[in-house]
Amino acid sequence: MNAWFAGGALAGILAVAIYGVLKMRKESAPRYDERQAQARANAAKLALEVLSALMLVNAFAREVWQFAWAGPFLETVVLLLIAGTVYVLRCVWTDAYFTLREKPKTWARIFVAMLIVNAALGIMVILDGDLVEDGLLTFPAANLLIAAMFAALLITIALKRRRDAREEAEA
Amino acid sequence: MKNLRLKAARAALDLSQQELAERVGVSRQTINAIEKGDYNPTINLCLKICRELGKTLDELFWE
Amino acid sequence: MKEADRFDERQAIARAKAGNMAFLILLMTLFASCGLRVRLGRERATPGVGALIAICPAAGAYIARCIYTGAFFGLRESGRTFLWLCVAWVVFGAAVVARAFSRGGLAVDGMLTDDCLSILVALIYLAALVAMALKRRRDAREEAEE
Repeated sequence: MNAWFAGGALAGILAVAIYGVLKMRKESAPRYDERQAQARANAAKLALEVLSALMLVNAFAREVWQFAWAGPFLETVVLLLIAGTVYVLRCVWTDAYFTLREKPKTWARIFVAMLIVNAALGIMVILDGDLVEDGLLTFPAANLLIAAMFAALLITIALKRRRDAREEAEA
Repeated sequence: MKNLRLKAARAALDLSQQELAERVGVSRQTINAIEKGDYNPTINLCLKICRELGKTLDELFWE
Repeated sequence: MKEADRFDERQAIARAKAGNMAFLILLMTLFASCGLRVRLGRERATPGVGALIAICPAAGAYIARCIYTGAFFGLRESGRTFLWLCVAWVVFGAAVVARAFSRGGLAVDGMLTDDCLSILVALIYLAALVAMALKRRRDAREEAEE
């Protein structure tokens, strides 16, 4: 992994994030109702606390225990993925992830595809023996984490659907 | 505290939570949360719900 | 005391929105610090100092936003003690800046020192002071309009 690759990947992620923000602002109709907007803000606050705690724990492990487990880029990606997963799972559970117009089923199919692709890539990396290099996790290890993230997301969506069905029956 | 008056008013018009949610412009879970007492809607949302159900604020939300 | 008892509904929502903004800022500082580490090919500070430096902007933004929207202090808190704490930290920060530059800067052997962290924390308290001052001015204007 060289600086150019890392820089390019970072630039790509930032570009997607900026595109997402601009796309959100363009839509004139409200995407989330008031309760959902509040729930999302609460989820972001929780993710902030989790990410801060993870950064401090990681720094402690590196400085006090001299335990380096990955290069700087993978470290950042893993921390972000964990915090992002916390945010997304909380949003899904409080019904604040999908907008009023989105169909959860369509997205669930996309998530299943992402899970399969990343799990397959991760398994290939393990079978090739490229997961660890010089005692540090390599960047392809992120695929396994992404697969785990989508698995957690799909499980949460399934549990939520079961809860919703129960609530609709009681309503 | 549960809002049973809202639930009764909705049932009187034979509306499901989903149908009321679509008319008011919120998600079904928001209506559910209001009926269960898990969420306090803003005055604006209260007024929208009252308008759809043909009730006043006193009848649905005030004790 | 639980947060639900300290703050009213509006304050709780404002704090959540401030947390949302702080989360985005933390994401950006994390990216920036990673980019710097990759670009330079080495650390610019010890891991602990580096992590705290990355967290400071988000913490400062959260505190300043909460103060400005009247959601930092609970219903039964006056904020006086915090005001004096802010002043003390800003004075301390100024002293650290003076000392650091008399010693030749904030880095030793290319690594940022703990002084850098102290200065950042002082800047957070300065942002809090500015937010309190702006809020007082806005409150005075609103009270005059009543």
